[in-house]
Amino acid sequence: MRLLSYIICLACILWVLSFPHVCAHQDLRHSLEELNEHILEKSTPELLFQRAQTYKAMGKLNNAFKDLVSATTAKPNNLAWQLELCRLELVSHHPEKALRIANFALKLAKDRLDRAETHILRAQAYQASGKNQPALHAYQLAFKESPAGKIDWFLMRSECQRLLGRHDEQIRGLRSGLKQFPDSILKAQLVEALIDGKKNLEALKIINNELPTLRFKSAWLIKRARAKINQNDKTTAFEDLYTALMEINERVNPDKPDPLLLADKAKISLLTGDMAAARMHIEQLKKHNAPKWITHRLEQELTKK
Amino acid sequence: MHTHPFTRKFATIFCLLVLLGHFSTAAESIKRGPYLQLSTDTSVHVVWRTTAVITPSVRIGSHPDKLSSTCSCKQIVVRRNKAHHKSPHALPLFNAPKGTYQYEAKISELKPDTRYYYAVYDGDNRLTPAEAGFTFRTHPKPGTNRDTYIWVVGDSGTGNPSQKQVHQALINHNKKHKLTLDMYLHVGDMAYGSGKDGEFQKKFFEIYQPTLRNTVCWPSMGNHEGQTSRGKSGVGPYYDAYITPTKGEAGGVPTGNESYYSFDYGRTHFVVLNSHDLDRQPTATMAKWLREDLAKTSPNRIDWIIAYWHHPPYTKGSHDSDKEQQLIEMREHIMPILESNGVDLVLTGHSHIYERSMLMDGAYDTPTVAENKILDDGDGDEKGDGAYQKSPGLKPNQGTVQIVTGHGGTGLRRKGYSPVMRRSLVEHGSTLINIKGNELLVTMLNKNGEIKDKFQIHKKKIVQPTRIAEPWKPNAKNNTPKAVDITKDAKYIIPKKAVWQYHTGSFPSPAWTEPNFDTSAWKTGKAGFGYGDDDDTTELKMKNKFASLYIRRNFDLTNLAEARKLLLSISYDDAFIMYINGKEAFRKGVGKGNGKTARDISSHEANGNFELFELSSFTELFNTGKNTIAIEGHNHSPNSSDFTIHPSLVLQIK
Repeated sequence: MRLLSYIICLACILWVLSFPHVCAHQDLRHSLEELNEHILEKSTPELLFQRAQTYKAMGKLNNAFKDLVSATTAKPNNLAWQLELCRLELVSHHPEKALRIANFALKLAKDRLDRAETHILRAQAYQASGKNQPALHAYQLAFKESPAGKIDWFLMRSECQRLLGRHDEQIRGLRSGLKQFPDSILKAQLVEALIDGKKNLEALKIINNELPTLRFKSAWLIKRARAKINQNDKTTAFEDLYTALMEINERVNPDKPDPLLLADKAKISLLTGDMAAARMHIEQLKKHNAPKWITHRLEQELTKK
Repeated sequence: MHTHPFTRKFATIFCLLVLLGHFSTAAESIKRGPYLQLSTDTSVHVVWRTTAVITPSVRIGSHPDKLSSTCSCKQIVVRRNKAHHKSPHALPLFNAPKGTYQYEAKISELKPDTRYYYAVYDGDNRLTPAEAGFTFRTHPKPGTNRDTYIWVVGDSGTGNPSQKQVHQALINHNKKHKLTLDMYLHVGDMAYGSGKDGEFQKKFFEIYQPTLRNTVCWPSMGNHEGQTSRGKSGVGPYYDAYITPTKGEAGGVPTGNESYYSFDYGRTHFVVLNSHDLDRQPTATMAKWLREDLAKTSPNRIDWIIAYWHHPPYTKGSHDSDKEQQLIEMREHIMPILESNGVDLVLTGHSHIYERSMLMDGAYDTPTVAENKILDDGDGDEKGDGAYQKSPGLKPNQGTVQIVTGHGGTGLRRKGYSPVMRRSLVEHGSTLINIKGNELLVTMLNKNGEIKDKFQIHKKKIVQPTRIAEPWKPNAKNNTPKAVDITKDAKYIIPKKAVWQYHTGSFPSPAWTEPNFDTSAWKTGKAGFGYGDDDDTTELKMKNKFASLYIRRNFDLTNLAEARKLLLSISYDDAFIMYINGKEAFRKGVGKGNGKTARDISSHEANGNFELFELSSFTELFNTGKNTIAIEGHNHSPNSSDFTIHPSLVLQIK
C-alpha cells in the first residue's frame, strides 16, 4: 500500500513537472504578473533579472533598466547581467554610463570570448560618444581576443575605420571578414570601402559582376555611380543614378518607407547636387525614426557639399 | 558425432546470447537519426549519432538493394563534446550526452531531381535496416518548373499525443493520396521546455524519425530553443542538430551564419529568419542581408517567395502581436522589406493556434488595422469566394497571405481575432503547401486528418490590386457573435449597474442557468462585479481564492421580433460564457468546458471598454415574456491582479 502511495505521488510529481512548457507559454502580461507575485513574496536578484528580460520583451525599457540596476547592485559580479545593463544604456543613448559599466565588466570576463564581447561594447560606447580612435582600439582588442570575430564586428569596425579615414585598413579588415564569412553585406561594405579609398577599378569589377545577378539594382547602381564620379565620368554616373531613382520610387512604400531606400534617395540627390531634395529626404528619414548614424552620415555629406 | 545434452544446450544458449548481443549492439549503436539535412540539386547531408566510435560510411544507390557508391569516413565530419572534439572543420557539440559521436556526411556529385537510397555503415556492418524508407531526392535544377509538396509544423515539441497525432495524420494523408513530401519546414519551438539536447532527442528526432530519414527539415529557431542556443554565436543544441546554408549553397545569398538563411527549390525561393535573438531593426545585419537576398531573387528562375520564422507579425492566438516587442518589430521592420520585394506567403508559429489571413499588404501599424490593407477579403478558395489573384512574377506589394501554424502539439489558446485573419482555428494540426506552376495551394490538416482550411494563390494574369476600405470581419457563422460598434438608437433592457443575483467562492449546481433555479441563497449586487482597477461597483474578495463568478437576471421581451435586435454590451476581464433560458448562447475566451470544467481561459483587458455582441443568431433561445440571462465570468488565474464582469442588454430601436 505504501509502495502504491509512493508510485502515485511520483506520478503526480512527474505530471506537474510536465507543466513548465505549458506555463512557459503564458503571455508576457501573465509572466509579469507571476514574477510580480514572486518578487512581492521574496525579491531576489535572479527574479529581478527575469523581470527585466520580460519588461524588455514588452518594450518597457525604463522598467527593465530599473530592475537590471537593482539586480546588478545586489550581484555586481554577474558578467552577463552587467553586459545586458551596458546594452540597455547604449540603446538609451547613455554612452558614458555604458562605457563605465563595460570597463567594470571587463574585470569580470574570464575567457577570451567574454573579453572580446566586452571590448565590442566598449567600442560601441566610445563610438556613440564620437570617440572613434579609442573605439577602433577597442575593436582591435576584441579581434585580438577572438580573431574569428563575428559579421557584425567586422561591419562595426569597418564603419569606425571609415570615419577615421583609414580606408586601407578598412579594406584589409573587410577582406579578412569575407574569408571567415562569405557574407553579402561584408561584400557590399568592401565595395564601398574600395570606392572611398579611390580603388575604383577594383570596385567596378566587383560591381559589374554583381549587377547582372540582381533583380533590384538601385543600391549597386549608386555604388557604380560613385566609382564613376571618382573617375570623372559624370555622364554615365548620372544615368546610373537616374535608373536607380526610378526603381526606388516604384518600390518605396509612402506610408512606411524602408529607411535604407530613403537613404539611397538622399544619396542620389547628394551625388547629383540636388541639395534641396537631399535635405527633404533627410527630414523624411528623421520623421520615420531612422537611426542617427544614417542621418548623421548624410548630413555630414551635405555639409561637405 | 555425439555431444553431451548439456553441451548442446550450453552451445545453443551461448549462440543465442551472442546473436542477442550482436543485434543489441547493432540496434543501440545509432542513437539519433540518420536524418537528412541541407540538400541541393547535387548534394545532401546525412547526419546521425552513436555512443561508440565507429568506422562510418554512407552507401547510396538508385535501388535499396544496389547501394554502389560510398561516402567514406575521411569525408565525414565527426563532432563530439568540447573535451573530446578534434575536427577543425566543425564546432564541438554544445552539451550532447557524454560519449556522443555525431557524424555529418556530405554526399556530393549527385544528379538533380533524382531519388537515391542510402544506408549507414560501421565498417562492413550495416547500421540502418535494409528497407526502402532510407531514401532522399535531390532538388530539381534551379529554375526548373517542378511541383512541390511541403509540410509545415510549429510549436510541436511536447512529446505528447497531440504532436504524434499531427504527425500520423500527415503520414496517413500522404499514404491515402500517394503523396511524397519534398520538404519539411519547422517554424520553431520544436523542443520544449528549453531546447536542450535531450529534449531535441525525445521531442523531435524520435517522434519525427520516419519523416526525417527521407525528408530534409529546414528549421527556424523558436524562443524555447533560444533558451539554450544563441543566434549570434551559432552555438547550442539547435545549431548542433541542424546544418543550414551559410554560403548560399542551396541558392540565395550567403549569410556567413546558420541563424538565418535562404534556399531555392525548383522555382520557389525560401527565406528563413531569426525573429528571436537577433537585431530586428531595418538597418541591422539580418535586414540588410534580406534586402540583398531578395534583390538577387530573379523572376527568370523564381515564381514564388515563401518566408518563415517563429514570431508572427499578426496574431491574437496565445500571443498578441499588438503588445509584444518581437512580433511588433517583425511587422514594422521586416514585413515592409518582404512585401516590397514580392513575398507571397509568410509562415510563423509561437502563437498556439491556426490563423490564416486574407490577401493583404502594408498593414504595419500598431495596433494592426485591416482597413485599406486588404486586397482580397474572400476566403481564397477557388470553390468558394475564388482564389487570391496576383500578377505573374515577383511584383512588389501585390499581397501576402500570413499563416500562423503554431498548433503542432502544444496547448492551444485564442485571445481574440486579428482583424487581418480570415480563419482562426483552435485545434491541433499542420499546414500543407502544394505548388504547381502558377498555382499555390495551402490546406490545414488537423490531427484527425480532416482538411479544415483551404485557399489558393494564382499568378495567371496581370492584376491591379485595389484596397478594401471595410474588409470582412468575423461574424456569427463562426459561432461567435460579431463585435459591432453601435451607431444606431437603442434602449437598455438591462442597464449598466443593474442589480443581478450573483454567486462566487464555489461552483454552483449545473442547473444554475435554468429559469426556475432557486437562487434564494445567492447574493444580490450592482454590476460591475470584480476587483482591481477600481472599476467595479460590487467589489468581490476573489483574489487568490476563486477564479469564477456566476450572475443571473430576468428580463421581459414584448415579442420575439425584439430578440433579433438585442445586443449584449459587456466589459470583461478575462472571459465569459452567456446563457439564455438555460442554454449556452456563446462564449468569449473560454476554450472548453463550463463552470468547474472550464479551461483554456484567454486573457482579455477590459480597459473600461464595453464591447457589443449581436444576439440575433440566438433568437430561438428567447421567449415572449419572461427570459433569464445567466453569465459565468472566468479569470485567467485566481492570482490575477484584476477581474471584471459588467454586462447590460441593449435593444436596437432603429
